[in-house]
Amino acid sequence: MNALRRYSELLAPYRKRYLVGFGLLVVTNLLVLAVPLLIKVAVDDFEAVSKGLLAREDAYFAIVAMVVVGLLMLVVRTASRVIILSTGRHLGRDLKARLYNRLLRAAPSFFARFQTGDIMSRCTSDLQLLQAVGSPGILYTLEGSLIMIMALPLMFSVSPLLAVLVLIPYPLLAVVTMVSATKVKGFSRRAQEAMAELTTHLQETLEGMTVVKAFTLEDVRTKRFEVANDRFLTERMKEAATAGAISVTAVIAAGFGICVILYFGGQEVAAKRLSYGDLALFLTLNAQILRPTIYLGWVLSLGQRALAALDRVDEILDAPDALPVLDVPEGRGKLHGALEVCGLSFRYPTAGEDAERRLALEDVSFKLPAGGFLGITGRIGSGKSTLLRAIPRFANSPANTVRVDGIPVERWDLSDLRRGIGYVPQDGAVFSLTLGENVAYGRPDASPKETMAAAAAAELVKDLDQLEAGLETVVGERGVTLSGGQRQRLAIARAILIEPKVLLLDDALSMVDSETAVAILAHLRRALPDATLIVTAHRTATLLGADELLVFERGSVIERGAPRDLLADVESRFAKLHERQRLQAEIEGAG
Amino acid sequence: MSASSDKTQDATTPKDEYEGRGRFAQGLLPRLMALVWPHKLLLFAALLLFPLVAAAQLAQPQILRLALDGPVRDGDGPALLPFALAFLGLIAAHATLQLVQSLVMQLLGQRAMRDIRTRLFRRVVTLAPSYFDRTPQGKIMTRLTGDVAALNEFISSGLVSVVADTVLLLGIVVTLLWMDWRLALISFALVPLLIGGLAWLRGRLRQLYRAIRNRSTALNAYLNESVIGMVIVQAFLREDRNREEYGERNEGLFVEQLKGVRYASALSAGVRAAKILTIALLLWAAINHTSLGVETLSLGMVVAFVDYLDRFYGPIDQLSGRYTILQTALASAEKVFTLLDESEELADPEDPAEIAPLKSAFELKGVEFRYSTGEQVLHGIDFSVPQGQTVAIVGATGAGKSTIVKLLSRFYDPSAGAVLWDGRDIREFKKADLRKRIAYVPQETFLFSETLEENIVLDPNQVTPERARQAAESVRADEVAADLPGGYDQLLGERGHDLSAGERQLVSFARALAKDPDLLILDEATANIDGETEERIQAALETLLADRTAVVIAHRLSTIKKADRIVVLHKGRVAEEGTHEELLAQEGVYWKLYRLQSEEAV
Repeated sequence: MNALRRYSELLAPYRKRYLVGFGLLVVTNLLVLAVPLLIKVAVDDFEAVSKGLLAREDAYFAIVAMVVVGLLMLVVRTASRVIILSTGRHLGRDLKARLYNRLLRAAPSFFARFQTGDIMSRCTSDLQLLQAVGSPGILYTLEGSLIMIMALPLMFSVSPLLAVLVLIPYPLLAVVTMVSATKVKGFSRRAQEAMAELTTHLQETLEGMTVVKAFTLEDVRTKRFEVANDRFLTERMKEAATAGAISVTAVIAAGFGICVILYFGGQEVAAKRLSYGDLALFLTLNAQILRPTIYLGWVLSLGQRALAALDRVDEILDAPDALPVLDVPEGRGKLHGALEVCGLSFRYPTAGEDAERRLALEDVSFKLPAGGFLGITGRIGSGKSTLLRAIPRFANSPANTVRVDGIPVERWDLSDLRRGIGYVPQDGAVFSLTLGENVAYGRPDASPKETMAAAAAAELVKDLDQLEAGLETVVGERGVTLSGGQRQRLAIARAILIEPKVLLLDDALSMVDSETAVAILAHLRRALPDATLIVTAHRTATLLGADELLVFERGSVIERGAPRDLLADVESRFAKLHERQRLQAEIEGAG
Repeated sequence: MSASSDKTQDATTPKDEYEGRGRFAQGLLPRLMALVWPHKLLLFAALLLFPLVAAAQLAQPQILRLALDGPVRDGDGPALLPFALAFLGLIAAHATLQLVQSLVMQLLGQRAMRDIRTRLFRRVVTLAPSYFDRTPQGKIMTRLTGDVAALNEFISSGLVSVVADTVLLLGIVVTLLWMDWRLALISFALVPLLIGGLAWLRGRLRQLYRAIRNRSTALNAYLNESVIGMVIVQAFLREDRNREEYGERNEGLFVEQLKGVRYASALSAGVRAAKILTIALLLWAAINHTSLGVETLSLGMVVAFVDYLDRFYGPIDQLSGRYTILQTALASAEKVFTLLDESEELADPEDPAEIAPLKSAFELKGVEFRYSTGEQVLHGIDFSVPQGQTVAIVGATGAGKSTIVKLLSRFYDPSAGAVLWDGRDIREFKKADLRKRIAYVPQETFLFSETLEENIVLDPNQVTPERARQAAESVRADEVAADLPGGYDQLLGERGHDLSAGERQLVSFARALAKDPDLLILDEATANIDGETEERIQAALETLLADRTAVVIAHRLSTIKKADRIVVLHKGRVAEEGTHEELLAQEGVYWKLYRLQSEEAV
C-alpha cells in the first residue's frame, strides 16, 4: 500500500482531534504573528516617545497587549501541541497493535520470508523512527505552512516590493530540498538495512554461541559485524550530509531575505516611505518564516526517512501470507476426531525450480477413526511433519485431501479446528511465564489441579521437584532454562490440558528417554481416551502401541499395517528398524 | 488483569535498576569521555567551531544596530550595501559553520557508536557461557541497538550541543550587559523563574523517561517471544489473549508517553511565553529608559536587544529538550557499561603457556563440578585419553556426560580437580589456543545464515575452502552439497532449516575434520536418524575417529564398541572403565545394565 495512504488510513479515527489541534494551532500562529506586529507598534511608539510626539502612557497599550498574548500563548500553544503530538502517540500505539495483529494472523510461509531479527527491527527501530518523526513532522509542517500563509499577506500589505524581493530565493530552495530529500530516503533505507543486518548477525551469533566459542570464531564474527557496522556509519553520514545541505540552503535563502530587507527596506525607511517599526516587523517576519523553512527542510529529509521506515513496516502489514478466513465454514463446533487423508500430495510454495526434490508428500492416504492411534516413522524430510502440519493447517493442503469428521480442513472454521487439535511440534516454544502458565497456555483459566494433572501425565512432575517454586517457577528467556526433554514434556502437557480430540505429536518425544516416552503415551491414552492420536517418531519403540503404522519415504507411504504384523515380517523396513534400535537401546540404556 | 497475567507483568517488566537512584554511578562521564577520546581531533574541531558559530550569530544584531543607527537614520540609502552584504556573509558563514560542526559531531557520535558496538560485540562473544544461561537474548540485543542509539544521541546532539548552547547563551548575556547593563538585567528578570520551572520538571521528566524506556523494552521482549513462538500461539488459539496482553503493555507505554508529551509541550510553550514577556519587559524598559538612568537609547539598540532576546530563548528551549536526551542516554550508558564490564568469567591466565600438540594424553584428574545452585553433578572424575585413542563415555541421562563436555574445552571450570593436556592444567593456556586444537561436535548443529562452504570453513584464517571440501568429501558431506540446488554455495536459511538433522550432523563432522584437531569431542546426537543417513553418519564417524584422540559421548552401539576404552558414568562418578569386552567380562554395572535392558526389550 502507498505509504501516505496507509498514514491517512491510520489517521482516520483521529481526524476530529487533529482538526481541533489544527484550530488551536491557527490561534497559536495568530498569537505568534501578533508579536511582531506589537513589536512594530512598540518600536514606532518608542521612536515617537523619544521624539516627544507621544505621551509615555499611550505607548503602554502595545506592551500590555504583548503580556496578554504571552499568557494566552502559554495556554493555547500547550494545548495545540499536546493534541497534535499525542495524536502521533495514538497512531504509534495503533500501528503497533496492527503489526502485532498481522503477526498473529501470519501463515508459516510469512516466517519463512521474514527472519525474526528482521521482523523485530521493523517493529522496533523503524517504528521508533516513525514515532520520532511522524507527529513532530506533521506539527512542524502544519505550523510552518500556517505561518507562511499568514505572514505573506502581512508582508505584502506593508511593502509589496520588499515582500517579492524577500521571497525570490524560496522556489529555488523548494527544488533543492526536493532533490536532496529523495537522496536522503535512499541513504536512510540503506542505513536501516545495515542496522537490520547488524541485528540479525548479532542474534545469530548469540544463538550459535557454542559453535562460536568451540571453533574460536570470536574474531571472524566480530569482523563480519564490523563490516555491517561500518556500512551503517557510512550510510548514516551520507544521509546526514545530504540533510545538512538542505538546511544550509534554507538558511542562506533566508539570509538573502534579511540582506534584501536591510538594503532595500533601509532605503525605504531613509526615504521615510516605511517606518522603523515596519523594518523591524519585516525582519521579525522573515525570522518567523525562516524557522519553518528550516523545519520544512528538516521535515522533508526526516520525512523521507520516515517514509522509508513506513515502507518497511508496510511490507509486513501487506505481506500476503495470512491465515485464510472462511465466510461460511462447513465445519464448526466440536471435533469428533475422525481423520481421513486422501491422495494428499504437497509441495512447499517456496520450493523453487528444483520441484522434483521438494515434493514433500506424494499421494498419501489413510483413514483413522475417532480415538484411533496412528504411528508414523520415516527418515527426516520424508514428509511426516508436513503431514501433521496439514491437519491444523500450518501447511495448506490441496482442497479435499485432508478431512476431519468428513469435512475438508479448509472448510472448517479455523479456530474450531485448531481448538480440537493438540499440535505438538518437535521444539515447542517456552514463553517467559511460569511453568504453570506455560502448561496452561491454551487454557489460561485451567485450575492449578488440572494444570498439575496435565503436567503429571506428561511426566513433568519429577522435574518440578528440582525447581524451587514448582509450577510457579518462571521459565524461558527471563527465567530458568529448561532442557530439551523438559521443553518437550512441557509442550505435551500443554496439549493435554486443552483436551483435544486430535493429538498430533510431531517427533515430540525425541529428547525424552525411551521409557518415559512410552509412559507418557500410556498416560495420554488414559487422560484422553477418546482422542485420536498421531505420533511421528524415529524411535520405533514409541510406536508399538499404535493401531496402525505408516512408514514414510520421500513423501510416500512405503509400508503400512498393525505393528504386530509389521514386526512379524522380519523383512519389513519397520522390523529391521526396530531390531537395530533395540540393540542400540540395550547399550544406550545401560550407559 | 487476572492474577496469572499479573505475574507475567512481574516477569516481563524488568525492575528498573536505576529507579530511585538520584545520581548516576560515579565515573560515568569520564567513561563517556574515554569513548570519544580516540576521535579527539573531531572533538577539538567541534570545540573550535563552537565559538565561531556563536560569534557569527552574535555579530548579526550588531550589524543591524549599526545600520539602523547609521545610514538608515541619516537617510543615506546607498551606504547600506556593505551592511547588507556583511549580514548575508555572516548568515552564510553561520549556516556553513553550523553544518560543518553538526557533521563533525555526528561523525564523532557515529564513530564512537561504531566502536562501542564492536566492543560490546567482542565482549559478548567472549563472555562465559554461564552468562547466556542467565541473560535473555533480547536484553543483549537491546544493549547493542537501542541503548547504543541513545548513547549516540548523547554525543552527537546531547552533551556537546549543550556546550554549544551554553557558549551562545553566555555570549548573549555578555553582549547584552556590554550594550547596556540596566536593560540587560531587566531583560533577565524572568530567567530565575524559568530556571526554577525547569528544575521542577527535570525530576519528573527523568522518572518518566525511565519508565517509558522500561515499558518499551518489556513490550519489545513480549513481541520477540510471540514471533518466535508463533506456531504455538496459533495452534493453541492464544491470539486473542496475546492481543490483549500485548495491548495492555502497549497501552501502558502509551499512557507514559502521553505524560511525556504533556510535560514537553508545557515546557516548550512556557519558554515561548517567557520570551514574549521578556520582550514586553524590555520594551517597557526602553520606553521608560530615562527613569532607569539610561540617558540615550537609540532605536538600533532597541531592535538589537529584541533580536538578541529572540535568540536567547532558542537554546533555552533546546536545553530542556536535550536534558531529557541526556537522561535517557545516561541510563543507557550505564547499562552499556555494565555489559562491557561483565567479566569474562573464565579469564585467560596473565602469562599463558604455549600449547604444544598433544603428545601423551588428555586427562581428567579428580574433577568435581557443582552448579552455582549448589547442586553437585560430578564427583572426583578420573580418566585419561591417551594420544590417538578414542574414549567413549556412556551413562544414563543426568549421569553428568554433558557437564564433562562443557569442562573439556573450558566452557566451564571444574569446582575442584583439573583437566590436563599432556599433564598441564588447561587453565594455563589461552582459551583460544586450546580451542584451536580441539574440535567440538555438539549434539545439535547450529548453522549460520551463510553458504554451506562457509558453514564448513567457519574461520577462513584456520581453514581454506579446499581443505573444507576435502573434509566434506571424507565424511560424505559432499553428498549434502550435491543435493542442494546451489551446491557448496547454497545459502542456508535462518537456523539452517534447509538441512535435515542427519545432514546437519554431516556438516558438523566436516567442520570438525577440516580443523584437523588434536582432540575431538563428539557429543553424539540422541535424536534418531533414518537408516540411509545413519549409515552415512556411521561411515563418517569412522573416518573422523580414525587414529584420533577423541572423547565421545556415545549413544550408538557401534561407536561404543569401536572405542578403545569405555568410561561408564553413574550419578556423576566413574563406575567402571575398560573395553566393551572387558566390561562385559567384569559382569559389573555395564554388564548388568546390558543384561537388564536386553531382557526388558524382548
